[in-house]
Amino acid sequence: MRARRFLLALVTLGSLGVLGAICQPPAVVKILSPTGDVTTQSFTIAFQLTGAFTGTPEAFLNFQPLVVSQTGPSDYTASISGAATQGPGFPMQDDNLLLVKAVRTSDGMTVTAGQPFAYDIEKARAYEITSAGQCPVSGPLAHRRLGDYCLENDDARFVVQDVTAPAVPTDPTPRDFYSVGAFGGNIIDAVLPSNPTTDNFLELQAMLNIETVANYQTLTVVNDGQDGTAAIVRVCGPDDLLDFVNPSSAILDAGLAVPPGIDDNDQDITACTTYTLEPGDAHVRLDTEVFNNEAANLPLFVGEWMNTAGEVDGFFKPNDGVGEAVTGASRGGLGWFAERQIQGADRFEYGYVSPANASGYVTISGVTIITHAISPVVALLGVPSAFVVPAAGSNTYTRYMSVGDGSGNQAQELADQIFGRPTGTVQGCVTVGGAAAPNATVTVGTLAAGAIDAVLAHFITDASGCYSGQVEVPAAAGTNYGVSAARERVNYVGGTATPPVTTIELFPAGDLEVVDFALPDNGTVTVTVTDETGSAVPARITVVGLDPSPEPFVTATLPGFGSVDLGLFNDLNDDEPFGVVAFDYTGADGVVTFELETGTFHVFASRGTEYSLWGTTLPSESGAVTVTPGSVTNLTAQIARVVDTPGFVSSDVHVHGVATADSQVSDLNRVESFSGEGVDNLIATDHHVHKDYGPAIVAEGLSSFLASTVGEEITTFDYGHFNSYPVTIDASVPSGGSTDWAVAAPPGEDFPSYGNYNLAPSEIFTLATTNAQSTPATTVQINHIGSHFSPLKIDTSLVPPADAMTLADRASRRLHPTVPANLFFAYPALELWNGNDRGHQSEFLDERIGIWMNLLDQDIKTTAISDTDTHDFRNLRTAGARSWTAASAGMDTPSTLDPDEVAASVDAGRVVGGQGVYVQSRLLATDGSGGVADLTRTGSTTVTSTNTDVNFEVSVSSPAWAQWDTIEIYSNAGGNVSSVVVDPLNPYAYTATPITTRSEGDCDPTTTGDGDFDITVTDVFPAVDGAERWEATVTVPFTGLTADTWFVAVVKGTDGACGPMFPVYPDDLNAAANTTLADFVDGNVGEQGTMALGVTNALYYQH
Amino acid sequence: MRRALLALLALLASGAGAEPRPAAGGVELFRALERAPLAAVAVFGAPTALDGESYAAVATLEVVLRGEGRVGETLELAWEELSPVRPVRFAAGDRVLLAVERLPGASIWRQRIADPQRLARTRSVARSGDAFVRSPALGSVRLLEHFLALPPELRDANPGVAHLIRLAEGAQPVLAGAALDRLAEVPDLDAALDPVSAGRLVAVLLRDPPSLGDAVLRIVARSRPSELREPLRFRAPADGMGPAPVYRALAVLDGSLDAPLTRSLFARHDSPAHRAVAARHADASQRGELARRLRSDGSAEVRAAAVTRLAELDGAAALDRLLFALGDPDLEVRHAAMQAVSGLGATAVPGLREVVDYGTPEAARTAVGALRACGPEGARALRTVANTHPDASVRLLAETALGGSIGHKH
Repeated sequence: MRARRFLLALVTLGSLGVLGAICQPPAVVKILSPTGDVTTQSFTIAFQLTGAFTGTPEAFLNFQPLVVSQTGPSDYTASISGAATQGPGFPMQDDNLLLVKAVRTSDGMTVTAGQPFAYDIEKARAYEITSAGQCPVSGPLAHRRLGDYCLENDDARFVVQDVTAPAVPTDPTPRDFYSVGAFGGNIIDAVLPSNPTTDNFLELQAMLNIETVANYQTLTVVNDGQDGTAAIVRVCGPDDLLDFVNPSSAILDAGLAVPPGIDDNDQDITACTTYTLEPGDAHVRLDTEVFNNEAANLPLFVGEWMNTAGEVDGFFKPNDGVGEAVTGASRGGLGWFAERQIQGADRFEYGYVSPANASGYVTISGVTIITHAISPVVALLGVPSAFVVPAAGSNTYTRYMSVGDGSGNQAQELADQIFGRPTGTVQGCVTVGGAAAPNATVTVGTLAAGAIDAVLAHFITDASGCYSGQVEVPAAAGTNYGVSAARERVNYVGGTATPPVTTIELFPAGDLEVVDFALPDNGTVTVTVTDETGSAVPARITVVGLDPSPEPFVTATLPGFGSVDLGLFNDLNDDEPFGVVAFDYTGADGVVTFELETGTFHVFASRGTEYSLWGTTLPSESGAVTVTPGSVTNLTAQIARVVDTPGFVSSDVHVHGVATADSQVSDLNRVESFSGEGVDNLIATDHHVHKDYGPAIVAEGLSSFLASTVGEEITTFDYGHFNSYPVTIDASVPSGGSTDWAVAAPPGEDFPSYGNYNLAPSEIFTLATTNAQSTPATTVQINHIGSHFSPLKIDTSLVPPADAMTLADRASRRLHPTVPANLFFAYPALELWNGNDRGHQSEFLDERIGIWMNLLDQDIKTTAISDTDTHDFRNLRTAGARSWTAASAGMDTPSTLDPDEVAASVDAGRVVGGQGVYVQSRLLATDGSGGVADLTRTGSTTVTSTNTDVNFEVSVSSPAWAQWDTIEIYSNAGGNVSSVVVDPLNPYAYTATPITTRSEGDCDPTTTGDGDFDITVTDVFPAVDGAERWEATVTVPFTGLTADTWFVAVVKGTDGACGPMFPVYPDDLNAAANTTLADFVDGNVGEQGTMALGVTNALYYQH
Repeated sequence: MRRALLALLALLASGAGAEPRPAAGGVELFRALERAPLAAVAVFGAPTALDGESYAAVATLEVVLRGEGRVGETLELAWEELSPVRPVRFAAGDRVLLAVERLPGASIWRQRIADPQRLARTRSVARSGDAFVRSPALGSVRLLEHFLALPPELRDANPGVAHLIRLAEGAQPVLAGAALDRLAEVPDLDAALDPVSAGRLVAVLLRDPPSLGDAVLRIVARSRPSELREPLRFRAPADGMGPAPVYRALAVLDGSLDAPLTRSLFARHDSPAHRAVAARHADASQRGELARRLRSDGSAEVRAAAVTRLAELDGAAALDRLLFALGDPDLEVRHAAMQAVSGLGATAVPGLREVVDYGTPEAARTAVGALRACGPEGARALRTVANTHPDASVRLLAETALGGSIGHKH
C-alpha cells in the first residue's frame, strides 16, 4: 500500500513537472501537515513557501481546489470549506493526495509539492459484497449472499439485498417469495461486527399504501463512506403488491369497509429508500421518498412491513411470542431482543423507532405492519392518511433501525435520543444466592398503588450480572419509578409470589440511580433417563406444581403504538401450560441438568405416545422433590416403549421453526424436543421456506432417534395453506426455493388490473409438484382445512364439491374471475387435526371431520392427517397429535425411514393419527376368501366380500397414562351420511356423527363386562415401573352392503370418566380444581385437560 | 442489467396511464435561495444523462439574484431523477429560478463525473434538485431580487415581509406558497406588518388555490398578528355576509367569535362553511346552539366543528353529547368525536363501553378507536371487547387497537 502511494505520488508529481522544479532549491514549497497518515477526524492542512513566489499558492486535495488562507509571512493553511481544519466529507477518501502549487518568481515556473496520506479514522462503509470474507454475517436468519450490499461501521452491520436477487439471468421477473421479502433492496441481515454470528433479522420492507410496497429495481451506493461521513445506499423502484399478505380481504371478512385506495391499487408512484449509517452509530436511518406521478395529491398509508422473525421476543407485540413491556406512554420505540433461551454473548437485540407520534402497528401473519403517522385502527375507521404526496412532487418519511448486544433497552434509548427526551441512568447488579446473575431481567416503570403499571425500560444483565442504561426522567421532581428484577427459574426477592418493587426518584436529567437485587439461591436438578434396555434415550422432563414466581403483567398504554397486556419480565404467550413449572429435554445421552426455583414439585420423564411415564409419583420413588437453596437433586428415570408400531413410522408433518416468519424456535430446541417426544420424523414446513434439520440432528447426536424431511408450507394469505413434502433446497436463494403461488410479474405490474392473479388451488398443486424443488414423491396436503374451504366457500356436500364464490369474492382473494370455474380441487391429503389441546381436538371433530367424510362419500379418497403445526416451544405444542405412516419392512425407524415412502403412504391413505393412543384397523371379508384390507405398506386398503358382509376390526393400544374408553365407527354403509353441517347458512364446516359407537363402560379396565368391550392392561416390562399398556381389539360386523363403502374409526377418552393426559399432554387443566401439588397428581378426572384421541384412515369395501 | 430494467420500467409506465409530469419543484425555496451560494434565473441547455439516475446540463445565467455568478455566465448543473418514469425536470430552453450550490460530496458523483476538474466546477440545484421554480414571471423575479438584496435581518422585518406578502399575493402558486412558508418563519410578524401588507395578506386568504388561504390561516394561528384585525373586520361585516375564510381568520386571531357574529354566521343556511366557522369558534354562551347543531345541522363540517368545540368548552361534562356523535352518519363527525372523547381518558371508558355494546355498528367501531387512547382502563376494556363482542368487525378493530394479531395465525 505504501509503495503504491509513493508511486502514485511520483507519477503525479512527475506529470506536473515537479521533479524539475525540485532541482531549483532557492524556492521551496513544503507541506507541513499532514506529513503522514491522518487518524483524527479533523486535521490541519498547512504548508510553507520558502523563497520568492508570485501570487497566491494553490492547494488541491484529490484534485479538488482548496480554499487557501495565509497564516504567516510564508505559512498557509487550506481546506475545502475555508475552515481552519479539514474535516470529514468531500473530497476526503481512504487514500488521498494533497498538492500545493506556487509560481516561482525567478522563472515563472510552477513549483509543486505533494503529500499522499491515508485517512484512517472510524468510518461507515457501503459496498457490494464480492467475496466470501466481506461483511461476515451468520446466524439463524443470515441470508447475505455475494452481490448484496454491506452497510457497516465499527458498531453495526446491515446487509441490503441486491435488487436483482435472486440472480436468475433467464428470469425477467426474479424474486424469492419469502415472507415480506419477495423483492430485493431491503435490509435482510443485521449484526454487531463484534459478534456477527447472531443474525436473527429477516427483513424490513417499506410499505407504500398498506397492500403495496416498493419493488426496488435500482441500487446505488450513494456514498461509500471513504470521506468519513455517513455511508449511504439508495434503492428505488415502483410500487407493487406485497403478495404475501392481503389485508383488505381480512378487513372485508370482518365486515369492515376497506380504507379507500389500498385494495390492490396500482398507483402511479415510485419510491426510493435511502439507508444512512453514520460512523459510530448502531442504527441506520431510513428515508423513503415517495414520488407521486399522478395529477392529484395522494394520501398514502406508508410505513413498514417488518419481520424480525428470529429467536426473539419483542416489546409491544402480543400474541406472537412477544412479551416484555419496556415502555410506557408515548415512547415510540419497538424493540426485539433475544428470547430467554439465548444466553450470554449470543444475545442480540433490534430496535425500530418511528419519529412520527401517531404511528401505530398491528400484526398480520406474524409480521408487524407499522403505519406511519396514523394508527391502523384509525385507518380502518376510514380516516384518510395524513401523509400526502403532492402531485408531481414527493414526500419522505423517516425511521430508524438499530442492532444491539442484547442488554435489552437499546430501542427505548434510541427512541429517547430521536425524540430528544431527557434521561437519567439506572444501573446495578443482580445476584442469585450471592453469585453474579447474568441474563436476569430488570424492569423500570411508573408506579400505581405500589406496583409497576407501565414499563419504561428493561435490561438484561451481562456476564457480570450487572446492567446499566438510560431511562427517560419524569417531567417534574416527586414522581417515583419502580424497579423490579427476575431471573428464570429463580424465586423473586424474598421468595414472594410477586416481585418486590424498589422505588427510585430518577430526577433531574443526568441523575444516576443504583439499584441492586439479591435474588435468593435456587437449586439444581439433574435427571438421567434410560429406556427399557437401560440405554440412554431422549426424553422430556416436566416439573409439575404451582409456579412459585408467576409472571406478572401490566397493561401498557402506548398512544400511537396500541395498548396491550404485556409480561413484566417475559413473554406471556409462549409460556408453559398451567401446572407445568418447568420442562426441559435431555440430549441423546438421556441427561439434562436445569436450575429450579425453591419449592416442592413432582418430576416426570416422558417420551410421547409410545412410551411409559416415569414420575416421582411412582410407588418405587420417594415422592415429591423439594428444592432448597443450593440443593442438588439427582434423579434416575426409566421409561419403556410400551406401544409398538411395527411397519409404521411417526411423523409430525407440520412443524415451524426459526426460519419461518412467525416462529422463534431454534434448531436445537426443535430437534431436542421432537426426539424427546418420540417422533420419528420431523417434517419442516416453514412458511415459504425449505429447511433441513438434518445438520442439527447430526450435531446433537440424535440421528438414531430422529429423522428430518424437508417440506414447505405454501401459505396463501386468505384461501389456505398447503404443505408439500418432501422437497429439495435451492441454496442459492434465502427461501431455499419456495413455491411462488402468487406468481411474479414485471416490476410494477403484479396487480390483478394487469391480469396477474394468484394461483387457484389446482394450480398450486400443479406448481408444488412440478417446480424445481419438487421430487417425484412430493405430496401436498391442505392444512387446517377450515381456512381453505370456508374462505373459498367450498361446500363439500355438493356433488361434486363446488365453490360459491362471486366475482367480488374472487377479486378479494386476487383470484382469476372465471378460471378455473370450480375452485375445489381434490388434494391427496387433508390436515384435519393440528395441535395439542382441547380446542384443537374440537376443531378436528366439531368442524372438520365431516368435510373429509363428505369427500369419502363421493369416493374422493383423500387422507386424513394429524400433526401439531407447532410454532412455539414453551407451550409444548411439540407434544401433540402425530401421524403414523406405513413403512416397508426394515424402514420403520428414524435411521431407516424413507421420506419418499412417508409421502407415498400419505398419498395412499396408509396413515393413522393420534395423541396418546395408537389405533389400527382392518376390514375383513367374511365370505371365506380371507380377504382383508388394512393400512400397511404391503396390504390393500380395499377388500371385496362376495356375501356383501365385512367385519371392521379396530385395535387400540396406549400407555397407561393415556386413558380411553370409546370407539366410534364412521361409515357410509347403507347410505348413511355421517357429516353434519355446522352452520346451514355457511355450509363449509362439517362435524360428523358415528354410525355406531362402542364403549368400554367406565374407563376403568379393572371393571370388566360393564360395556361393549374390555381393555386389557399389560405390564409390558415388569422391571420398569409404570411400563403398562392398555389395549383392546373390537370387531364390528357390517352386513348387506349394497355399494362401495368406507370405514373409519375414532378412539376417545370421555371427559369425566377418563383422566386427562396430564402432564404428558398438559394443556387445559382446570386451574380452580388444582390448587395444591397433590391436586395435580390425583388423576384429574373431570378436571378437563387434554383427552386421549386417535383416528384411522379409511378402509374400503368394494361392492 | 439495471439500465435495461429502468428502460423496461419507463416503457411500461409510459403506457400505463396518464402522461407523468416532471418534478414540480418549489421545495424549501426561500431557505435555499437565501443560503445557497447562488440564486439566479437560468436558461437551460439540453440535458445529458450521466447514468440511469442523474443528468447534467449547461445553464446560462439570465438574472443573478444573489451570490457568486454573473449574467451570461454558463454553469454546468447536475441533478438526480429518482423517479424513472418522470420526464427529466429541465429541458433545453427552460427558464428556471433556482438556488445553486456545490455538488453533493457523496462518492457517487466521483463515479458519475470522473474528471476531477469537471467535478470541481459542476454545481447542483439545491434541496436535492427541488429548489426551483419554472418560468418565473419577471415581476416576481424583481420582487425576489429586492427581497434577497436585503440584509438578512431586514428580510424578517417590514421590508422583507412586505416583499413576501406581495409575492404571496401575485406570484404563481408555487412561488406564492414558498413565500408564505418563508413568512411563517418570521419571528415577530406582528411587528413587521404594516397596514398595507396586512391588507394584502387578507387578500391572499381568498386566493386560489385554497391551499394558499390555508397557509395564511396557519400563519395567523401561529403569530396572531394584531395588524390583521382591521383589514379582516373590514371584510367581515356583522351580518355574516363576508367570505367564510375571513371570519375564520378573525376567530383564530381573537380566539373566539362574539355571540352576535356567531349567531349571524349560524344564520347562513346557505353556507356550511360560515356555520362551521361559527361552530368551531363559538363562545360558552352558545352551548345550546352547539348542541343543537351537533344534533341536527345538515352539514357534517358544522357537526364536526360543534363536537370539537363542545369538548373544548365543557370537557367531560360534554361526554354524553360526544358519545352521541360517535354514531354520526358522517366519518368526519365520528372522527372528530373520537378525538374529543379520547382526550377525556379513563373518564370516558364506561360510556364508551356502553356505546360499544349497545350503539350502532358505526358508533361501536368508532368507540373502539376512542378506547385505544384512553389509557390502561381503555386497554382493559378493549381486551374484553376483542374477546367477546358479537360483531366480528368490532372484535377485529379492538384487536387491531391492541396492536394484536389479525388474519390467519398459523
